[in-house]
Amino acid sequence: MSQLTTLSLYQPGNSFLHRLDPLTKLVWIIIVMAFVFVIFDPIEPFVIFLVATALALVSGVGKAYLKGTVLLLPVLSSMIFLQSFWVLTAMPVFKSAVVRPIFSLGPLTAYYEGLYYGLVLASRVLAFGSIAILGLLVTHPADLFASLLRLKVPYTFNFMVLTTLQLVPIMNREAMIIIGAQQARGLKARGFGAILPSFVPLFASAMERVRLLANTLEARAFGSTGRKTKLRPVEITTKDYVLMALAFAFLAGWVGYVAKFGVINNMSTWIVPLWFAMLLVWGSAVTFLALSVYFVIRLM
Amino acid sequence: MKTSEKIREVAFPMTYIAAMVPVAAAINIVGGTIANVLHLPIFLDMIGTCVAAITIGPWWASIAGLITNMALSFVRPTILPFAACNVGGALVWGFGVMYGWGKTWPRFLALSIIANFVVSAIAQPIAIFIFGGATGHFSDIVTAALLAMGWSLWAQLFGPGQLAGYADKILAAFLALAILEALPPELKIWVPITKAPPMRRVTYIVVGLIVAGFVAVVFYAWLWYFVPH
Repeated sequence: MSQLTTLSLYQPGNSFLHRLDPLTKLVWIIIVMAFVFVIFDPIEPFVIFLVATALALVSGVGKAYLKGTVLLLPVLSSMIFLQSFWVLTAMPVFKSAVVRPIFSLGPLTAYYEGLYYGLVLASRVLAFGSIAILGLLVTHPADLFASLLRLKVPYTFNFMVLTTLQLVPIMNREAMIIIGAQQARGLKARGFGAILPSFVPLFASAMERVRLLANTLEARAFGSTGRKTKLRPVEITTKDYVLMALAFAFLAGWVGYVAKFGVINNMSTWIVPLWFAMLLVWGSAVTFLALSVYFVIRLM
Repeated sequence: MKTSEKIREVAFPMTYIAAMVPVAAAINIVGGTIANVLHLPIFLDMIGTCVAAITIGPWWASIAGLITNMALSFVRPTILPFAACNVGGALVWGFGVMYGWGKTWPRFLALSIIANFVVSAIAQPIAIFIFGGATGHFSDIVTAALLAMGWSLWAQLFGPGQLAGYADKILAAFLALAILEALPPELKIWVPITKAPPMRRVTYIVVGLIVAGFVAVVFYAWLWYFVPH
């Protein structure tokens, strides 16, 4: 995971999304997540994914966005593959439903209902994954936590999260140096036998870091209750208030729609051309099997 | 275990806790990376949680677990819902050692098995309702194989696919013990805890569990294929 060298997807920029207050973006992300989890149809979440992609391109973070979204591929293909063939076994709640087979392969049968359910789950994850990735690309973590202070999130908690984000790349680099040095000296650097020699030096230094950090915090009056200044000041503007109001209006409209018409669910009537259904099932199956082979080869 | 045997919590300075929690969270994340580099079929992402649970108590360890998934969600947003698993593990380990389940290594082993059961019981509904049983991890292969043999996703909570999870938690817990021995004397832990047993013994248990899981899946496959059903 190359992002662990920084543990942040943030891409510097000056687009409209970059300039928004982190709280505005957080409110939109939470409302979109709530929206996709109360619908039972793949179309709307897929539209959200397309909107997120367009916003990423407009904000100049398209390349990093696509790289982040590709990481969702294993879980998406697993969902569609598992549900297409085994929706009846996996989710006993569907046992009473009428099922329409797409095709059979030996003892295995793929169903439209399974494919639909797999697409619903996959599109939900695609929607909330893509919108969250976009949010992370255009928001500096320090800005996010500075904004959370305004919501009275404890300062200590914010400090802990930001320190973790800073420590991980350092400890990750140390771990790679230790493993590399051990490999260079012919020490076994694969499998269970390599765990202890790799972990102990790293964690001994981690514990030393705890003591050093605790002393530093004590020396700099960490526990003082006075007003604290920020390295990166974050200002909330009128456009943030307008966008937050729009987000809540969207939520209220959606709640009203669900109250009147119920949750969108087209499972029993959903149909696509046979070739398209087969393409989706085979596509997910091939991706799933390719990733499985990759995992097994890595273990050997 | 009687309540009277509960060990009284010792108040650590806030600065020590504020330093320990992020280091524990970072250990969790780097542990996952090392497991990946060493090509291990386990996660090793709860070592820091276990260290924190034993040193600063279950509640602060829960915060370390929560921060682990929050920090990881900055690169993989889909991991955020599983923060509850890390919190569950922290509470079991923390309260377990508080009530004397860390005094001997067989007890500590049993505590780690309970921790994995709790973590799985939290993870399985999240994996089913949000991800339809898929995780995008190596374990999906086992899930698919068991589904093909007629296991439901819920039944898999008790199935052989979980043996890798038990191996993971046991290894994490005993690595945590080894780390605790490296703690500076003034930060020594506030509960009586066993010394770390020889790691070779733990490795045998862990490898044995993974092999047993693999053999069980193959055995079920054999039954499914050859026994009429």
